[in-house]
Amino acid sequence: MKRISAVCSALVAGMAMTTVANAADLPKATQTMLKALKFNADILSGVDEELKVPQAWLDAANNKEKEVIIYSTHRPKDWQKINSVFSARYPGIKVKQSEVRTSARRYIRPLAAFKEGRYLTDITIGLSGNVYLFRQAGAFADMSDVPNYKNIPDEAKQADHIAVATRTRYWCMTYNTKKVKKEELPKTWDDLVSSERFGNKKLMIGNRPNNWLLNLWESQGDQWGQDFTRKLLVNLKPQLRKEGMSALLNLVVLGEGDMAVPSAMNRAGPLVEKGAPIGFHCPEPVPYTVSELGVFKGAPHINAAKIWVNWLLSKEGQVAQYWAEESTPVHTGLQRKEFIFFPEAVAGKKKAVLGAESEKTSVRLAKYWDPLWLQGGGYIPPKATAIETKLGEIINGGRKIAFDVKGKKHTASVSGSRTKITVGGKPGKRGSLKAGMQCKVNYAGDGGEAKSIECK
Amino acid sequence: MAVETLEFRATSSWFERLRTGNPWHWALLVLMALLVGLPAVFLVLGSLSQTQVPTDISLSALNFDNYLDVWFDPVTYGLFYNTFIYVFGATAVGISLAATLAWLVERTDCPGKIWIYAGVPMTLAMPGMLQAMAWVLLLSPRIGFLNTFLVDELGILPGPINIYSLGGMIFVEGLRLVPTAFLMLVPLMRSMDPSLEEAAAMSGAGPSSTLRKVTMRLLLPGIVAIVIYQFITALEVFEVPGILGMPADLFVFSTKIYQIHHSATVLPEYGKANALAMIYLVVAVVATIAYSRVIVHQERYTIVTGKGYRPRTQPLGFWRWPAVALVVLFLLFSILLPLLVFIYVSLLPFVQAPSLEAFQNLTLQHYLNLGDDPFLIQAIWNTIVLIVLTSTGTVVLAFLVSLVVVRSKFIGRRFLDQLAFMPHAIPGIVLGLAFLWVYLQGANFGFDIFGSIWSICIAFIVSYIAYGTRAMNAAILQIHKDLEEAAHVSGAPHWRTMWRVFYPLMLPTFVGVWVWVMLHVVRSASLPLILYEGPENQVLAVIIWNMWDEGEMQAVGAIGVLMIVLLLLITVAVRSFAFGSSRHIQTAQGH
Repeated sequence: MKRISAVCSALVAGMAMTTVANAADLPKATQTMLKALKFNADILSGVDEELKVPQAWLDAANNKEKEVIIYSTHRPKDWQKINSVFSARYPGIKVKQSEVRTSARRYIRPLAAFKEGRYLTDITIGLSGNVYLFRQAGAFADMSDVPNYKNIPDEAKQADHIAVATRTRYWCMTYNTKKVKKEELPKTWDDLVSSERFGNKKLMIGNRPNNWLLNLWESQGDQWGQDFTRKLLVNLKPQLRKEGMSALLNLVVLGEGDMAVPSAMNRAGPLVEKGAPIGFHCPEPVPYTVSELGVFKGAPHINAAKIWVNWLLSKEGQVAQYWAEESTPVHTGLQRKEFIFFPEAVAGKKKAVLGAESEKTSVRLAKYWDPLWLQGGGYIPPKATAIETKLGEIINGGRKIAFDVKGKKHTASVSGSRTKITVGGKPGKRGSLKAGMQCKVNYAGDGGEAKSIECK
Repeated sequence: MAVETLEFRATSSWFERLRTGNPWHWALLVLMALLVGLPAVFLVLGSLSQTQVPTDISLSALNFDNYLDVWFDPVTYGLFYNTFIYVFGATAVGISLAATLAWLVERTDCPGKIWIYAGVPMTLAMPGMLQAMAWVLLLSPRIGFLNTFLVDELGILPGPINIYSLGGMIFVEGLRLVPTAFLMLVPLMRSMDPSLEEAAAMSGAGPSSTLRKVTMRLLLPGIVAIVIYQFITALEVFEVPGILGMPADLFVFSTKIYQIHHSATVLPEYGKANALAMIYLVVAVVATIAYSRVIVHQERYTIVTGKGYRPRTQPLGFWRWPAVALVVLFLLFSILLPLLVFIYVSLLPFVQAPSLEAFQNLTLQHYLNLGDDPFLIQAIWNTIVLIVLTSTGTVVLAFLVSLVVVRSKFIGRRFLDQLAFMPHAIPGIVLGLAFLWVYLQGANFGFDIFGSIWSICIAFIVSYIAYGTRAMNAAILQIHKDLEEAAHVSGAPHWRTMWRVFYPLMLPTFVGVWVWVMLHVVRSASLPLILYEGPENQVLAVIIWNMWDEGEMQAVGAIGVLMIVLLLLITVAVRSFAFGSSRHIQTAQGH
């Protein structure tokens, strides 16, 4: 036993020495990154091999091109982190990044310019299902000669090799932990729309079905997709929100709705770390998306672009991206739970991944979703419920009452003009309500307005 | 025979005017036709196009399918009722408030005028989505800070005020319409000769009768121009209906256009959006024709004559303090409360309702973090350059256009006026895409300003020329031709007439337009987002938009607070300088 233990100790010590030796070989920026993430250097094992590219690329990039232009959705402060690691490796290549967040900037401008024989960028990141536009224009180069392309799983690459995933996202839901108990969370997506728990404006929906519903639609079929969409938008009566998905998270924190769909795991995580009262939850199957990039065919800095892509697809690039914006890596060698903010939300659950038919599915989804979204179904006031209860508390001179409903404390506002009050069969006012009175309260759910209060 | 002669004379006169038209009038018409005509044609062609990438216009892919799709959709007509109530309500609230405020500062002895001058336009600097969001944080029935305070803490209100309602939308949009109308009305009221009102009073007319029969009638061209302008603004703008209407299933016309631009298919169906947006263009053309009929007898509205005038203030007496209360309430609702929300949000680690715990955790971190943005300083500098170029360019071009429209007999003057108003009816994204296409083509003809600050500047000038010309038209209408003729008779050349007669009298309007454009340039992101290229050409509005899209509300709050304080100071300085000079000139004239 002692021998085994000694051998193990020797092995661990040997591994540690190797790790330390490897760590010392890494550029300073990479070491800083690993230290900030509290990762061992062995997470980057084999990185030197991964970063080997044809000498001709290096010569052209360092001596002739000297820069690479990138369109991406990364925030400047996040980009600085990514770039600090890349620049330490390749000081001869200057990276110019533009933050592009609208479809006009990401797709239309570069495509329109390309058709006029002009290049605005060498690389575009964040293609969101629009690769076909670039394919039709013959705009993207084949990337199969990029060495680390092989480290990306096949389902995260286009079959014709013109686009490859760089990061993954889990798009699920966030909820306000002060308003929603864990046991109330839906286990499946069908549970979400079949229960009234999140009906009547308690659920907030952003207009980005492509981020989550498209995956579910494709994995469950058209009939399921249509039924679900109708139940979600018409029966459940959610709040339709114009705000972006990240801004929606802030509204969940505030409690404007009990829950929001869709929410990205990597955006919810940092808020939880700051102490915001939200949780992240994924019903099954879990919508799992990838963010793709493409390199423009004939781009002015094509060699530098390929070197950059190769680096981003390497373990070092993938970890740098995680360091900058908590993006889950797509590299096959980095599928570890350290990179997932809420591992319990996705562990052991089936993933809904987009397939080859997603472009066509997207069109069918939009045809169904868009009109329902726009009609919204009209405002339906919350359903009034009548209960027999004993008034527990009279707040602000009767402007609000609190009472017990099946062991839970409910409140209802009492309007001076709209709420009909009777005490002992005679018309009464708010001031005539007293704690302990046995009353029949007709009100629009917890926190809603009372329509009538009939007390004995 | 007589008829023939008359016809001949008419033809001769028309032909003569065409032949002898001033060359610079023609140059101006051609310039405007190029600047405005291209986006307008782009809008029309785009509405017929079936291609996915909007710059790929091809004759073989043009048909009326987009029109059939959107105008035969019953949903489109279902939106008209809400749209009607919302647009009329917001325009009425906005213009009546603006007229009251302009009258108070220009024609009465209301105290604290400098705060009204500086404070009212500040609403313009706040992007619509931020202001609407501030109102959600204040008056949402679920989480509104103000609702919580008034209902739960003080018990003043029986139930929460619901900002997610048609009334809420009218209130917030109405507040947003005030500054533009105010900036247009202030110079008009400032230029009014009080002797006309005095004459009415001397003839026995009461104050309300004088207001109705003299003041309002003299202001008619200005008021009509403002109503038309603001009506289309309310019809077109989406931020307020989007943030306050959609969560309560209240949809208006602009919601549908937004929906198409943000379709679930990710890439917008620009053709359909353009087909719907054509209604803005139709309304704009009909409105300008109606307007030109209103001002057909323009000499009726001349107020500033060669006899000199001195603005006289009306004592408010007992009404002084209610007037102050109205001003304070307006400033509170339109700028102070939203600003307080932003200050509060900018100091939080994450957005949360006010509480003891929240106040204990306040931090300046988001202000300090602004320094980490590597492009912020460059963006601020670009924004300053853009403000100076765009504001000055718009003032000069708008003045020249209005001079021709109002003062000349140029045969194309009405068309010129319509051209100048059209950009207000073209959605920002269409204008941006049209200029993107033009700049891409321009490189082939040696005109390569693609992606630069200049490219944004030109698009902005076109975008704001409608406002500039509405304000200038109304102001020039008020200046009697006697003044120019007297200068000509005295042997003054054109430039001297401009410099010595028009410039001093128009100065309040120039400043008003300059400030208005400045405040719009600072906040508007739609055009720069399409046109700028590279971080070195980024402007502040783009950085704010990106932060907002990323959900960094605290950072947006921090940058917004700093921006509004800075703009407040600039507005006070510019107005004090310009109105100081103007008053000096008026006083000299009076003597």
